[in-house]
Amino acid sequence: MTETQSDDLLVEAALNDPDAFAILYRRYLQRVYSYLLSKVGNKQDAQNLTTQTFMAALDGIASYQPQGNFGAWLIGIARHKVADHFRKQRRIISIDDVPTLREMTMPLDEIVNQQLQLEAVIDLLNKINSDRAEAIQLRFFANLKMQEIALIMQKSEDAVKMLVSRGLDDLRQMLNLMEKTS
Amino acid sequence: MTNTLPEQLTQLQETIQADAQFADQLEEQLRMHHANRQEVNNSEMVTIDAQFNRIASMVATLVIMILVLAMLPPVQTLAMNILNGLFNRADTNEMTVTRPQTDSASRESEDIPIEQLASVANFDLQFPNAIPSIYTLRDSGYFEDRNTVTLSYDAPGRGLIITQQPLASVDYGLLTDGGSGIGVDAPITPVMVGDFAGEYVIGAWIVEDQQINEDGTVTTQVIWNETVSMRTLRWIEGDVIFEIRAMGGSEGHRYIGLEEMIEIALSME
Repeated sequence: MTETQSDDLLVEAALNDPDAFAILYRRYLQRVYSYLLSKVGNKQDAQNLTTQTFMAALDGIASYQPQGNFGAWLIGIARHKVADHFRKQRRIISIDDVPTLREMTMPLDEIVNQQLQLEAVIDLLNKINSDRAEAIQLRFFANLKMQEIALIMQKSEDAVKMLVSRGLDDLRQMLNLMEKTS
Repeated sequence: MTNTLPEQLTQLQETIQADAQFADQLEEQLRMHHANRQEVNNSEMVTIDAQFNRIASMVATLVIMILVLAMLPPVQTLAMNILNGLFNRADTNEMTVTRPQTDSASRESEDIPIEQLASVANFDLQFPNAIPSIYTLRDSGYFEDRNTVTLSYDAPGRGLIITQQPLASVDYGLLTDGGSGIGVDAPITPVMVGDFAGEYVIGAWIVEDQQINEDGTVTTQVIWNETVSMRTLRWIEGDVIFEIRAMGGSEGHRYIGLEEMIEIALSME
């Protein structure tokens, strides 16, 4: 198995080969983690849910139907984990930090600015329509295509495009308002 | 030109990286889970649930760390560094630092494509020929104020940075150090990189506490920790000082430790 093989080939191999699953894991870790961090807003929960997501994916990998949308399938699992998470506990928004490799080479003030930026974006997403926020998180944090988002949200591609577009409009309006009041 | 909102969101997403140690540990847990799953399938002696619970309890014990290289404004000159060794030592293993949020100008590097680096840096650059294949070049940069060049490589959950600087420029700041150097008690291991003397240090400053003050400054408390996954090798070759810094990874699995760093160092030309 190599880093360049397609997702579907790796999934097939991953049934018996831990190296193949490890490649998939490394390929999708950043997208899964970013999406989860944008949902829960704190690093500890994002890590726990990332762990749960990949564990569940490994356990359920035999049920994946190879159609070239492994990323969407994986994010779908992450989405279920987030829903379970919020059912179990009250939502707390507190970005404790934004990790880490870049931090190691980044001046401290840039790290702080980045934290504030992410915290602000999550705060704004919490204020807009939940479907629009979800579409934006799937598009920009999970880095999914419109077609994949449509599959996950069980909506048409046009409906998803509309959600993303209106969600961005909402964010722009709030950002403009913040600029005027600051 | 100002970036559009979608571009800004994409850029923000790209800055998010899972903690290197967490990423490595989860990968190991997945491998273990995979192996256990196959074992269970074969023998039916242990239930998946039991293994799952065991792994879940391990995850709960993960220690989350933030590593910061540069915490203090430059305070020492390199003449001292060269005389006393290749690493600055702080006076303590624990510091509290207050800085303005926007005080990075003196340490900002300019992103320069690797093929153009030689033309902006006024010294003969060396490039590695033995970077492990899982790493890809993330960016290359030039610190004009101190005539220092960096090559940054990424792999999932880990990073590698190679830095080089003419000794004549170290009075303006050593490599990419911000002045914090290493903890007062950090062990320094003397090594040889081919025919050249070098030094090797394991550890990093860990943020214990951080808060934004009412006046906009940021106060950070840091402690030097020798158990974190950060290894630094420095050596002087001719009139240039080199540094290789490896982050993340766990020993035994595509790990870049001293031996591997020396191999990379020897491949530079």
